[in-house]
Amino acid sequence: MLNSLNYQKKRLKLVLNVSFLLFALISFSSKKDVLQKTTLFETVMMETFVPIQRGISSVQFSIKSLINSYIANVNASKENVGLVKKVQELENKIFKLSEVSLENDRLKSLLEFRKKIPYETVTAQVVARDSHSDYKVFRVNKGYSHGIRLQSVVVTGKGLVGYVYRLTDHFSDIITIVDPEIKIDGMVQRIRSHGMLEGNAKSKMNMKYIPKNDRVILYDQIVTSGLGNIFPKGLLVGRVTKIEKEHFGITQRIEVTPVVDLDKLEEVLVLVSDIDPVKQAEWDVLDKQSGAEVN
Amino acid sequence: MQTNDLKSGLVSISLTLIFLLITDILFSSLLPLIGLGQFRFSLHILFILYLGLRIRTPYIAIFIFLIEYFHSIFTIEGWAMGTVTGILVCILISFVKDIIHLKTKVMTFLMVQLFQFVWFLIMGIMIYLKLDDMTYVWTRLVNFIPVSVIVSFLSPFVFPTLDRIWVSREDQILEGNG
Repeated sequence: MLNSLNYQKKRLKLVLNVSFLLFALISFSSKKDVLQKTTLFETVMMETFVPIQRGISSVQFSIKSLINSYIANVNASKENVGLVKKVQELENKIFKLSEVSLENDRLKSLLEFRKKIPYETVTAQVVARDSHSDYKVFRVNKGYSHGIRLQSVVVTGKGLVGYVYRLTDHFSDIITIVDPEIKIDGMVQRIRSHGMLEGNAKSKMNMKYIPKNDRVILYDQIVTSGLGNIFPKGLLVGRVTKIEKEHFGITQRIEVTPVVDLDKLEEVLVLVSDIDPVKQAEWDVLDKQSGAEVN
Repeated sequence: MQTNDLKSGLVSISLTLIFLLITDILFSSLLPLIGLGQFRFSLHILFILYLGLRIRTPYIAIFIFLIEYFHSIFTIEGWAMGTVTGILVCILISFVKDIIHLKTKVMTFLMVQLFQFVWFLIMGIMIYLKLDDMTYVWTRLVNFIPVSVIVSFLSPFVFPTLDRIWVSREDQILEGNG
């Protein structure tokens, strides 16, 4: 009797293990790109938990202010408590004002950039980052209800940041250009050579397929070529910081450092222009073709 | 520790998921705030290793899937890779479970560290198969080592908490049966 019960348990465990393993493997292997359509459950979960993350982020200023004030005034407190209080108050004010001033500068440059680009934009604030540091992904406080759509391009005044890969009504997840899963068709601005940009997990990108004879030099600017139907043409991506040419092979290895410091982003612009009908038609044709191939 | 009753297991896994959500929210928001943005991590591996090392249940695959699915809300990695890796690691653990005794903190630390390396090995193979690029796996390894050590250091403190979640439920069931 006991043996039969143990056998049943073992059989159930085997069936469950194999079923879930296959289910997960199929899901993993059929995932073609990073775009994720959120299920109702995921939407509810994200809408519930992201405000908490945002709340935690918002206490950043007060914590920083508290720590800075304490360190700055620890010696003065020995001399005069009253003076410390006064200094502390003033430093808090200065700190807050300098933060406001910095924020103003950032927003001003974003506003100026916004005027230059021919797209409708939405300004969004970074509220959280991916729970693994291996992934260069962050979450912003604007979503579908603000006009953002999947694959909406994200920029700052300095250059390209990435695109939206997952969104809910009020929040969006942005995958950045240095993530290895992203591939961008880029162009060396000075000599108009095309190549493929790929993240290399060191917060930089590798530019592939540039012919060895093309005279790329250090600090050449790399811009988007507009191919691929996601990133508009001419957005600044980064600058060349390393060039390696080998005796064999017909291409050269180029390392590109993004112009945007992706680890210190606080505000971004999301381009929310309506999809170009010509591009949409192209997408539809491609979708039909790939559907036919699968069938 | 045996959890054969799915109902009691579901209560325990629900509490574990709440624990996971709290830690994921805190780690994804607080670590960048204190300047440790480069070492963001999650305890989902630790929770799955706990299930593998301490719990004997036929429903372990379901529990691993639930942990990975809830964790995927906070990461682009998704649930599939973690579920495959988790189930494979737990199958491996099940072969050596009887000779592992996590009675001391040092032993817990060592075992968690060992199986985290096994976890990385399986995940590295999957990433390589998908991207066809070994350099990305090496780069991840560099980041994985310090993070895995932190997770292993936390294990002697997290495991007793999980023991309370999983053992107390079972005690109640035993008392109820008695």
